[in-house]
Amino acid sequence: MRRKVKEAMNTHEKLYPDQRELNDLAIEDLKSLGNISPARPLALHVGYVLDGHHQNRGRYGRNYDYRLLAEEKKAVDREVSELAELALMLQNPEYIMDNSHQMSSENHQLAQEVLKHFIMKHGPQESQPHLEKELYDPLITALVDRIQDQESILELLLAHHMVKESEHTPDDYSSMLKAHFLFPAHKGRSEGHWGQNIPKIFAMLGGEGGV
Amino acid sequence: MAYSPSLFDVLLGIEQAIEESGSNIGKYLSLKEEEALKLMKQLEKAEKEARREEKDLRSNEQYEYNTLKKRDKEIDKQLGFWKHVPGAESALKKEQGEIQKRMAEISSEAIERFSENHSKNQNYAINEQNRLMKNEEDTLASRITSNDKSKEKHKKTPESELSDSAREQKRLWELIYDLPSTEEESSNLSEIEKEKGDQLLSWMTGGRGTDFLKSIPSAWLEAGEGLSGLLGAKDLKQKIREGKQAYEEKVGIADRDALNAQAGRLAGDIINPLGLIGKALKLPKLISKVPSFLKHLGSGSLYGAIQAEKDDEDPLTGAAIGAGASAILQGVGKGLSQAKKGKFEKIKKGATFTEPQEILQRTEVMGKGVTIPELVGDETLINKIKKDNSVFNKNRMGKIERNIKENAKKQMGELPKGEEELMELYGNLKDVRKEAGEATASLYDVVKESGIGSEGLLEKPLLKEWIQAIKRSQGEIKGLPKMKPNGAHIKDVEKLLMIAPDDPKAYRAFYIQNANHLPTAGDFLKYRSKVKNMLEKSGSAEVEGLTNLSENIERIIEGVDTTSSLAKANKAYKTKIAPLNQKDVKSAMTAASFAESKEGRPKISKVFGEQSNENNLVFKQLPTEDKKRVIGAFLEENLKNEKNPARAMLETWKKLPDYIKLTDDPEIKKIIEGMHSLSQVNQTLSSMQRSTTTDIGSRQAIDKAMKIGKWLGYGGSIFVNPTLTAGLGLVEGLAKGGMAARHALLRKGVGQKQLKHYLKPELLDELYSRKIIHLQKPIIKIQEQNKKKRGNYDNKRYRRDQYQ
Repeated sequence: MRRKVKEAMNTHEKLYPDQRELNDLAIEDLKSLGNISPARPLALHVGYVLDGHHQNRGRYGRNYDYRLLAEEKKAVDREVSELAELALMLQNPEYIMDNSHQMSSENHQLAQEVLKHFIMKHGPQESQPHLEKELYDPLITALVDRIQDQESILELLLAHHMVKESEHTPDDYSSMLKAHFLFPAHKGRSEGHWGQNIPKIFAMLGGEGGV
Repeated sequence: MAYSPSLFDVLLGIEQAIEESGSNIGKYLSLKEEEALKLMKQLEKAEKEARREEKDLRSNEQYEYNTLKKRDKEIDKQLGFWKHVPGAESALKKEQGEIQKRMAEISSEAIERFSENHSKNQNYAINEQNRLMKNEEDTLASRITSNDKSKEKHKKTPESELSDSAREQKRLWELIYDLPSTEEESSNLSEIEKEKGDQLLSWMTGGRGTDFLKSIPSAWLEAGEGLSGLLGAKDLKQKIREGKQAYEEKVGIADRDALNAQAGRLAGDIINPLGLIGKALKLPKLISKVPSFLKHLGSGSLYGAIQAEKDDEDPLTGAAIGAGASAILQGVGKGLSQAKKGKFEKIKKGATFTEPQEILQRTEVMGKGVTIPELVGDETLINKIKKDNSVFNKNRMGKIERNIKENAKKQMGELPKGEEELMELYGNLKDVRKEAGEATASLYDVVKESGIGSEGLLEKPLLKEWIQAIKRSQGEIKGLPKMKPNGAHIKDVEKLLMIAPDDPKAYRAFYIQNANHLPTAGDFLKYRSKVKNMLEKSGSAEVEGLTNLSENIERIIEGVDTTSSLAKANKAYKTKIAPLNQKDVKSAMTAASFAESKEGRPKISKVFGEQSNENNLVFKQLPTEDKKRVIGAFLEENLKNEKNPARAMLETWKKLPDYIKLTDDPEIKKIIEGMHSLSQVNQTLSSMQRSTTTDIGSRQAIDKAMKIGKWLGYGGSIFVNPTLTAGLGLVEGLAKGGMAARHALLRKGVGQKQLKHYLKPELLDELYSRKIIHLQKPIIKIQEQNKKKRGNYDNKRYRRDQYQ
């Protein structure tokens, strides 16, 4: 299979000799099939953002999973997924009500139950302060606690190894990595999603007065 | 319910994709692979047939072309010959012109046909790939439609349909995430800043904002100062502008790299969960998609290509682009030549860890040439080293050797060397000889006292009678003992007796000189007891002979002395003669005298080089410092031929006699073990240096080093080679410690606090009581249960303690 792809790519390369790098890229991508990691795109992307460009693909590609054991890779993936989920829930309560993700976690289920509970109990307008106190605060504390942990998996397993062969320090990298988890939370807060979308959710739940 | 997909959607999407696809991926892939293989076979068959036809055609053409060319050359030759013949030259030239014309025709036809076939083949391949792609697209589309209607939620909402807040949200996101690159965008930005600035600042200064602000690391987003810059700024507008400028300066907006960078980031954002599902499920699809994707890329910028594909709402295209974008994010665009370049530098670079002090210590201890696997046991680097072992090993060999030399020099420092030092030993050795001489004299006195021989010797007549008695019984008895346990046979003693002087003083001097071969009173008594033992154990055939011999021996004794004097002699032998071992002492002294007379001072290695009890006895009597001098003397001799201290030490250790190697003196024992360990380490490291690519990077080398470390006893006997031992111990300890820390970290990861730990227990209980939460038990109840369990345990322990 790979031979055939390579032949096709070689033909293409003859026609477009300046695209050799892309050629290699596609073949490498095929080779990496089966090693899909949820944390990988984020980890690499953070490196690119630090560089300000996407030119050092090879560097970060090589350094990702640099010396992690299989179980450590799983732990990194799990950690990133959980943090991403927390961040998304903070960004927009719509995500909390969204069940399209079949991999809904315990945190997600719990947040959904709490959200429903308060909206149905207090209505769309009055539930806002309760939700702020009983759900938004715990969510953001959970996220920040985990992000601030200096001995977290992200800090020790991912950030530490990703900066090898780059001019960045592990601190810079981990800060940038963590910042990416804070972006959605900040975005949701600054744009008032929690205030705006509660009536929608209320309407969806069958309440009156929704938008 | 629509929200704009972000990078985190992607992350969760990937995880979901992995779970959803599960084992079906493998089956599906294998099915698709079979299909693709069939296609490949068809393609190959068609290509083969085409090639065969072309070959036939080409061979005919080639034949014609060659014939024409041959004729063309002949004409060239003939032109000169026929130039004086009227009409001949012009005829030849005309023929040549026709030939050349035909040759050109053949060439052009061949080229045309080749290019035609080539494009035909290409078209065929592309058509087949498209057909396959279309089939797969249909399949996937039907699967997606039937399986998950909720995926429609992820469809992109057109810009015009966005609500005001959504549009503002998008703009703000771009403001922070992708800094604007055009003036138009910048002007829009200012408006947003005005509107959102107050909101940001008010949120920042009140309620959760302060805590949240504290949690934001300060070092992130250097280029634009990012979120912390925005939140911490009084003048938000200015901060954003500065960030934008910094970004533009760093990247250079106008050049193509910046466009690619922008496209890359965009790819990161638009990447769809379907992307990796598609990647996982649709290998053949991806194969067919790659050329077309690259075609897009070839026709314009990367950004354009992605943007073009992004607009396509076909989920399959989304899948392909997801795969393409993930490839971009995966950063695998390394060229082969690039990978080969500076491989060694990369390995070295990888060794610069963040704990320089620790690494420094380790390298100091193990030598700067120590391998990275030996330091950290890293498999990835092992693989790298496997690829390039030449330079790395060469350096490593040299450095390890230097390290061993240094250790050898340290050990050499403990051993005295030089003329003066060794002369001291000589003086002490004389004292030892004096002691030995006194012991010998006392032996003679004992023998004299026993009355067996004149002045302590076995007299000539006694020896002759003894020999006669043995000779008489020799024919009847097999395996008779020797007259002297260490060697002398009857013939040897007889020969000496033949030349022995009769004068008592002269006989005494003769006796001392030949003490190795002439039996003593002790030997005689030993012989007697051995014969008695043989008599008791022998069979009937030998009884008579042994009885006669025993009787004769007893008669000899009776003839010379009483039993009391014999008892005295026996006792003296056991207490004084046997432990001193007269022969050995005398031999050593003789050797020492010989060396002294010939070279001016004793050649220590010659005196002590022989493995014998006499040397052992003398060595034991020496003080520790002199023992060191003995070893130093051996080393000095080796240093004459070998300047490498490590090898000299190794050779010295090899030449030392066993009685020195096995000495009980603790100080000397340390030195010997140090030399031994040096030779062992040297040997092992040499084998490691010589090792090939297969075992250089493997764990074997490290294990071996660890074993040596253990053998050296870095737990207790550091003295052997303190630095190396400590180093090996340290490495092992660090390795163990590192693994333990990692495991602890993983355990911690598993036990991370989840949302329920932050929710109020009362709330959880309320949800639980109303059976809203089915999966979780209320926190308060859990706490109570735990408390109860702990209480029980404490009670049990208390009771157990009481009982005990």
